[in-house]
Amino acid sequence: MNLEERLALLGGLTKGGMRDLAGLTAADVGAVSHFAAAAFQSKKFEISAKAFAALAALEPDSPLHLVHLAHALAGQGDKVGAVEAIDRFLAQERPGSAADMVRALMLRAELVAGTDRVGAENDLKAAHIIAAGSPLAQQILAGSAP
Amino acid sequence: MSIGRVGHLPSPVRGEKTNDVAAVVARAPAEQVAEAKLAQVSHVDIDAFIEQRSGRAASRGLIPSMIALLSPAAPKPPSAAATAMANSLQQALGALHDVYKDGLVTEGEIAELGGALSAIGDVLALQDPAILQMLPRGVRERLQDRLFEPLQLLHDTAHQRSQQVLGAVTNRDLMPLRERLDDVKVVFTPLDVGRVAKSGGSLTGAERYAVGDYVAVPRSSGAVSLGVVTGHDPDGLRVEVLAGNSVGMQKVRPEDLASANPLKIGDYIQHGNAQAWITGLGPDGKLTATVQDAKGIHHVGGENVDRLAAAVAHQISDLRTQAKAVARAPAAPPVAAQSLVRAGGFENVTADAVKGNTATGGLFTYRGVDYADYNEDGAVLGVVPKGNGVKSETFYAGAFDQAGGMGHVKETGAASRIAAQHFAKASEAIARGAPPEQTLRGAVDSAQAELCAVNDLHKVNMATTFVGGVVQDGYAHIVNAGDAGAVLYDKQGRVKEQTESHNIYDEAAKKASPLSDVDCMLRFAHNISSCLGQVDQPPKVDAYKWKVEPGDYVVFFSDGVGDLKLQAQKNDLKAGKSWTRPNGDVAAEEIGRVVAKAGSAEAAAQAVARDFAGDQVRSGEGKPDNAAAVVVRIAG
Repeated sequence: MNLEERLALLGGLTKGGMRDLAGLTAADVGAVSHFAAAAFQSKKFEISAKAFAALAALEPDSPLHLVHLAHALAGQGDKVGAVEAIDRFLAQERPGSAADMVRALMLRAELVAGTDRVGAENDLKAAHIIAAGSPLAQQILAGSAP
Repeated sequence: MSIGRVGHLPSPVRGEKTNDVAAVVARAPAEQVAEAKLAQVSHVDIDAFIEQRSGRAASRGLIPSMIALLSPAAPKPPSAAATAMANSLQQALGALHDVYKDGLVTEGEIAELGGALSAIGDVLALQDPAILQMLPRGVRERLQDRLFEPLQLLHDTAHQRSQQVLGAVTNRDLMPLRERLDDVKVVFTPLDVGRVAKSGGSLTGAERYAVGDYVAVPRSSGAVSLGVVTGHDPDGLRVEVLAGNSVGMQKVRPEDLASANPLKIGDYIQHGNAQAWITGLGPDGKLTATVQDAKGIHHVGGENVDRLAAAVAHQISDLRTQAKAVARAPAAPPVAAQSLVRAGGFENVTADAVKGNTATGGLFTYRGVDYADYNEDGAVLGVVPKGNGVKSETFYAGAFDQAGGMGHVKETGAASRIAAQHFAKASEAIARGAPPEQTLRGAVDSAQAELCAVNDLHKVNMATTFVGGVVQDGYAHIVNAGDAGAVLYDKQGRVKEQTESHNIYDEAAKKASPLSDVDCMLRFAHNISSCLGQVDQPPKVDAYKWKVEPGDYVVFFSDGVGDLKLQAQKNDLKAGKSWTRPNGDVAAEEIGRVVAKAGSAEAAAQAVARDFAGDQVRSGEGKPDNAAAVVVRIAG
């Protein structure tokens, strides 16, 4: 196996290849996602975080797994890990809707406010700018929608 | 809702407040209530925000996207095709494990391996009994039987090997400049005399140097030292040299560069029956060379290198004289139809060229520097000659950038290839009389439809940008969806027109005054706000019609070129210095200078996408990415 083939395989593993390796269907991934959300709902944050981290690796083109991972890590008290997960989400080329981005920025602001006030202000400022084009995002920012 | 409308209720971004909430609530739909409440929350009032959030923390349930996960579809076994793919991957993974078991991890794959090991580790966490036992049996079995064991083997073996290589790489990269200059390892590249002749540049010009190249540096003492290029400035090259026992930074002016470097260290020259390699600097401060001719191999320096440089310069002068003679020749030759669709992983080694009577074109696309081992950018360049039902010669060009972080199928650059093909087909139709804007918008729609169908079939989420245009009858008709770009330059390389980027930062920057108001958005400079491939968010498409004049250039490029000043802006912001113009505008201007200097569309495409882009990434001013540039030069 030459270098180019190895690189292609390694790259493929990080782009959904592991899901294909196991022959996992969309419904299979849905089952893992259901477990992760149910664990979060039961406040089993550590288990929920492991499952969402695995989902982010199995489905790297579904960036919302990173947001869910951030919430689970935050619930566990791992603020640093949660912020890293949000930053990975925001680093996607198409992270999601304005509403998703605003929710993520608000969570980030909340997590960093204690240690990085300027960062938190910038997060909120960015959330306002992004929300400008979306009524739902504005409701989220104003606190009148989840 | 536009930002202008929000501005009617004083925007918190601008720090104003309103007391009109009651009046708004009285008349209002939910969105206006939200606006009013939004206006009351100052964007800098973090304490109020935290208080608001913590006050609702206890009642804050799952966010909507997580609620949606609580109603999954019933799991079912994989299809035959999925099983076949899984089997094939199992074999490949086994082969990979065998490679790493034997210790064959190379430095070139360390970065990729690190990313893969991290993702593998996350997936292996599913082995936790608290998770595994709660999953449906079929899912559990598929994970246990097909995933955990091969991944664990690979993880353990590769991790150990990569640590050994990383250690060696770290030690090497810390090697100081002194050792680099003591142990000179020159990389030789062929000197393309024809290109230098066409470009109007010279053998001794600074444009021939890239970051990392060796160069002879005249010192104030009169001596000449060996240095390493670290960047370009308008008034010379930036270099590092040894100054005694420390490293000094120096600027080399064009005249000093020329006097000490009649040729470039690293040039490989074929001249007549001889070959020459410019190997370095001799103790006398003159360049050295190794020459192979009929008499054998000789190591030469000083005057011999000067004589070789003079001979090559004479050759360049002859080529220019011949070119002028050709340029004066009457009667345009017949134009052959050409259609170059460079996509699906294609990489140029040298630029493609297309020639017509009304314009010439050049195209260059490749993987870029320090980014990936593949190219997902696509590019198109073509000409449909006048005649056979075509009223006017029609040039067409475009750039298509597949979003690297989103979905993929096995074929490299499948999404950008789909977009490129639909664009090329539409352009041919326009040449035959179809209305330009409508037909180009139709190409975006049909590419979107095909891409969404492929995504649905393979259950992936591929996306691509789309910028393309046709040049016909004195106009360039262009459409853009995404953050690739097109710019119209005059013959001096000055910006006349440019497309607007569909990118969260650029869109915010356009509305901001001053620009520093949206410094907080610079981190979103890679977030595209419009692209093809998202079934729930059809692309936003802008159309343009630009008048073109003789000597003008129309340049199309992916964001791997358009973002070549992004890191520079980010670095300055980190150092506390806000820019007054967005990095995209600064990059567009510099690209124009490179294009105008190159001398031909073909040379310009390569100069932009390979040389300028590579230089910017290596110097830390640009972001690593695939790169594509297509240049159409209007004749005259």
